[in-house]
Amino acid sequence: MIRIKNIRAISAAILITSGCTNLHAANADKTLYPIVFAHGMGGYDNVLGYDYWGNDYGTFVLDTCDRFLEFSCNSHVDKNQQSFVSSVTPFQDSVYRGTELADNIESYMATSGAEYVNIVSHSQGGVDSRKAAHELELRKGYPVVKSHISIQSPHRGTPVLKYAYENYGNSLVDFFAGYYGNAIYNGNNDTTAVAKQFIYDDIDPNDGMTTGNKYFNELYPSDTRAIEHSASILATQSAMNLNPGFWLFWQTNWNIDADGYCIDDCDNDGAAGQGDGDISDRDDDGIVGLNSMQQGYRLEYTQKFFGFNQISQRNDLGYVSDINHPNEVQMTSMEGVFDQDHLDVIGVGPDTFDEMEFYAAITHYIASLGY
Amino acid sequence: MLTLLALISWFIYEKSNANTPNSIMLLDSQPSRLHPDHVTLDFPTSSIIHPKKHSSQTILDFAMALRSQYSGNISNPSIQINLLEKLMAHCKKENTDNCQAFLQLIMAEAFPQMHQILQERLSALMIYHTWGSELHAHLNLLSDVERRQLLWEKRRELFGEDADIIWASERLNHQLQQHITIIDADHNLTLKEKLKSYQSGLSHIYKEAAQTEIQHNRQQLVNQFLTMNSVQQQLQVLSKAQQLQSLTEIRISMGMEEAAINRWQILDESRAERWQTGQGYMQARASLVSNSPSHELEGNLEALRRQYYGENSTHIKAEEDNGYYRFTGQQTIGVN
Repeated sequence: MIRIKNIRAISAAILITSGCTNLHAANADKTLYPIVFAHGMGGYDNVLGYDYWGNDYGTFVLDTCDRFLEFSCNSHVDKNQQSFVSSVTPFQDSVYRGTELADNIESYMATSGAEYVNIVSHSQGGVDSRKAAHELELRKGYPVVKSHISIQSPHRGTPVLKYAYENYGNSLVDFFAGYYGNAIYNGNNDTTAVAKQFIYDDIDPNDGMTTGNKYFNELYPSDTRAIEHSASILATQSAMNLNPGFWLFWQTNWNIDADGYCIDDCDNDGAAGQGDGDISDRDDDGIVGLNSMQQGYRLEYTQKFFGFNQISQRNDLGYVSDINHPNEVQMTSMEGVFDQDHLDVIGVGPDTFDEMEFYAAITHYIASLGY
Repeated sequence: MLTLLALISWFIYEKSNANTPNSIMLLDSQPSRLHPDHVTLDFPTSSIIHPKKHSSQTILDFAMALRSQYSGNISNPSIQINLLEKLMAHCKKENTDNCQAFLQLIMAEAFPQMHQILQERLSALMIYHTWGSELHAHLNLLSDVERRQLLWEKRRELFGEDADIIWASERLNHQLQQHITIIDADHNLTLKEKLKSYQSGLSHIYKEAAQTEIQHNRQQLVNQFLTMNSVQQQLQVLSKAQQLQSLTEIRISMGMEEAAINRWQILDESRAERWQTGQGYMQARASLVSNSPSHELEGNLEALRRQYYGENSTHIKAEEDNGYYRFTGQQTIGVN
């Protein structure tokens, strides 16, 4: 087993150093370690009433086809592919949710016997995952997370939550309820904590806490101490093509402008970087701006009709290890950014995005790394 | 009828969108401000057929690719939907002219015997996409029950009984969620009875696939059971030894083997110790906060963190700076 793993790792290393790793998801190879799915804000079993990590018809994206004449499954993944779907408190900050994610992974490891995992995360799940990885490293004494791939995660904040925080203040929970439904009033949900988490700087110096992505990133970087390999998938869409669900945010004629570079939150919009003056161009996915999304390597997703979709690692754009200080290209380049909004890649339909091929391609990419 | 409705829909789209290169139809002239009354179509197409725009070789290439991938299962409604959405996505990506005509030609070439069925399915799917996009914001504001009712009414209207096949996974997920809600709400059941009911529900919902589902999702299913409020309430009143015994019984009954049970015993002990330390720390911390002079408080807290957590005290400090005190609440037995 070790030998096979090493051969795979060497093959992956050769491909990576050759400049660009092209990996086809014909039938995605099985990953050596299980894939853990970390959901974003809102909870995996009740995002707008649909299942989170599924296609538009409720089938889990890594549901293996292991029964005779089984149609509701992902035919692109190995029938022995191992995965685990974590569920954490829908509306909490990432310190809280990341600890819950670590608990869930720790439980899964006990049940399955796995000693390492890979994490695929969406939105806030990408930020939670870094906290979880550091927590697991503390508990186990070794880096449990072999790879972490975040999809459309607000690593450097989002103007949406600053806008919500400043405009809805004490009625923030009602604002979110209008979007996510009344389930938000349940349990340990704390919408103010969520908002403060994703405003880049500490928004309230008088609340006795230090909040925001900037401080969080200093504490929980994507370094190899806790995560061997970090990468991210970026997707944006022009204003006119966004999911109508985002109109709620736009009823005041407001939109994100997030394809300009500067250090930290120079324009004070709640996210690091700045805009270029054009709010309607393809610089955000409706929730997260382009300049907030990259951590680790940037991955490119290419969709094909003939043949199978592929994930490529964009080595030319470099690796973002210091999450608060990516360079200008990493914050503003549209290279490798595919055209989807914030909800297309999860089970919120109807849309024509093929979630099955997308997650099969990600699985194959992870497998090619030897993880 | 469906075909007619779809053609009308696409015709309106084409007319109103004649000078717009992308896939969006706006019903007023304010592109910078969108609201739920606007209509979005997911991909460009046309009711005007210009088959000459696509070479016969292109049609043949598509047809051959589709036959090789789908021919064995094309009679299944889920497979048909998958095929059609793949084609629709291709149209969207390539901004294909006359997409519907293009798809008609491909389907006729690839699956001549299924052509009519696929055409009707395509029409229904197009209407469903348009309807879903139009009502998306409205659906978000409905309760789960109202939203499901509206969705299923539309699905049955457009897809008939095949909707049950197309959305089979969603139905199973919903049945499981309903089953959990019922068990959780039944306060007459003991812990063992709840577990038995949970398992019989899994067998009833997944039928012959139940064991496979449990095998694939063992930890998720155990967590689903343990995180029911009523299950936690019953676990919390047990002694530590009884809790551990109950947890072991639950895990064994869900198919965990000896090695897993042994790993869990170690983890349960580790977590119990973690919580005991944490709750002791929180009590001592509260006492310091109440009794320390303000100028000494931070130093005293620092010393306390070191006393309880040694070199890991910086991590506890970082969490507290963020307003997070992980041991303020109650342990969720078997979960954290």
